[in-house]
Amino acid sequence: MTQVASVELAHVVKRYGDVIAVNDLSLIIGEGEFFSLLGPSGCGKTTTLRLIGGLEKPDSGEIYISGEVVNDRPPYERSSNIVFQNYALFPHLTVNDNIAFGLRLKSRRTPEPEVKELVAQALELVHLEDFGARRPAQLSGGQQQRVALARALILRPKVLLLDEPLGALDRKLRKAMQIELRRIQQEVNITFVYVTHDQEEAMSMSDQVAVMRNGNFEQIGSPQEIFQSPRTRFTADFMGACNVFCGRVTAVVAPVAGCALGGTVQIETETGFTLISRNNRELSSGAATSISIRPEAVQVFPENWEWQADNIFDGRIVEKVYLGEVTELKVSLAEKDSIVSRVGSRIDQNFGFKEADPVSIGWNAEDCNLLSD
Amino acid sequence: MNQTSPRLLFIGCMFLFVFMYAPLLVVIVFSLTPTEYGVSWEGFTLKWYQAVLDNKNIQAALKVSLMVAIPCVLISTAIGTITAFTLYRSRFFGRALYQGIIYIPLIMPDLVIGISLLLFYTSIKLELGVLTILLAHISFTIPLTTLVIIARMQRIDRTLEDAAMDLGADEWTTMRKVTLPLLKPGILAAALLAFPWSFNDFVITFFVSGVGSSTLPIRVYSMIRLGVSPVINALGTLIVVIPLILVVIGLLLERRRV
Repeated sequence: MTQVASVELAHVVKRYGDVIAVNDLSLIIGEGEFFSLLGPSGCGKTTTLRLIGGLEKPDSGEIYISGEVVNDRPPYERSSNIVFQNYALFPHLTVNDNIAFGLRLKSRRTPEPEVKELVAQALELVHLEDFGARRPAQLSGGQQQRVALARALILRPKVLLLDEPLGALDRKLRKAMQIELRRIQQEVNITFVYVTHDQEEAMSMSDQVAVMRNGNFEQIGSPQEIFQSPRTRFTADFMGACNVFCGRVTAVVAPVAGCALGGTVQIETETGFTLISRNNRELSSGAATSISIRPEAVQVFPENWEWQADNIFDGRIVEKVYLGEVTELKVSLAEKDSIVSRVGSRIDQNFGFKEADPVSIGWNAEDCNLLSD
Repeated sequence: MNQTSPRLLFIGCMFLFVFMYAPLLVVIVFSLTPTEYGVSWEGFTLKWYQAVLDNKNIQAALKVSLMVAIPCVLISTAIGTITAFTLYRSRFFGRALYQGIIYIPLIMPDLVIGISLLLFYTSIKLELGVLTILLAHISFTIPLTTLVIIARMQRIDRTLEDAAMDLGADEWTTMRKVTLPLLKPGILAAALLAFPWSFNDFVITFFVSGVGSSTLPIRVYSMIRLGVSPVINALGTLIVVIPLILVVIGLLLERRRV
């Protein structure tokens, strides 16, 4: 590969006392990529970000920005900038002065007319042209967030590090800002490293997503890969694929030439069900495995309904939760097993499902995903 | 209960006002009437104020008081700021102990502080005078200024400093452009509190002042020993009212600026 990675971590470790926050992380982020670190709180994603930004020093391992080791460089000598979770706008300065803060420092010595012009451009980029003279306290959360973004972007960093920047915004604004962030990222063409615990956020913006857990990467891949083929039980669960069964492969069906779906496997679960799944891990007969199924892939019909799917079972609704667009139905298959389905609320209403109703439940082999743990 | 508690609160407030401000009012009233002895109103006069202004001893004492209070405020605010920074920012061995020790003078009886300082200064053969008063005042105002500045510092968001460094400011620039401006209200408050502490102190000053280095409170005390003169009433009124006027002006200016 001739292209230099924008950010590279090589076996980075960070401890706080006895707690290992980041455990032997290695990672390559390409130039101009929108890269998300996704994980629950306490998984080390913010520490990873602060390590790249230089606000924390690694205990071992190397951090590279554009091919240079930056381990010993303080944050003010790194070509990275951070958008903080709480925005960290200077309350004693106006929006203009906040945005111009970095430009006016001795290390940059930008002439004042140029500062004015760049600040005006930055305000335009984040659609805050008329707010330059205000104090941060006079802005809404969304506006403050955009000021923080402008303040970091104006320095033209090689990498922009964003620490849950949308966490404090309401849902509608968050959606709008996700699109806005993606637009800005493509406009300025800077590598974005984005920390979030919201899988939807990571899905909608990223080129690559790294799922983190206890200071380690669980899986790195495109949003589609992570979503459709989670490799571990943790990733599957974190991405909302809450139906997991353990079992053993009892038969393997080789891929049929010309058929889009690859090979399939027949799996007998520990609780005695037989399932058909796509063979996305190329398992052979006898292998122990677990399998995850996304709830929206599971269809529910009234009992004795005539329909077709690779896996169909009889069950009984034990719980029903209305979520707005969709309705979540928990269906018990046998005494131990239950499976969660998300059906469109309109479908639910048409069938008039109630708790304790007997139903026919099923899903296709291509919606199954074999896990490696 | 809901009915009576506002009334109880009102009565409590009234007690406070009566016991705090009524005596003060008495002093003010009798500074404005010619009665020399006893307590009765015999018409309006400003002659006691004239007497205060003409009194060479009071002038000398005021000079000493200001010569102590002004440098004391500057020095103890500066030391308080540095101490607060050190205590809050750095981790060193015995830090918690040091932090505890620095606050002890706040609860130590003035009498004990006064006697111990006196013994200390005499044992190192320091001549009692303005210098010893200044040193004493600096030592007992430092815990106050440190405490006030630390309180402010704890309210400053640390990520603001992270942000400044991230945007390219080194440690010194971050302190100058972010930390100190945010700390300014705390530093000002510390100075405003330290000034009356120094200016009003009697007990400690009493022990460490030498001949011919009386501060205003010491001078007032020696005047009282010769009998309560209405001159003292006038002086007392001035000491209360002048700072009050300054504070009001300050508040008005502050309000106009916003």
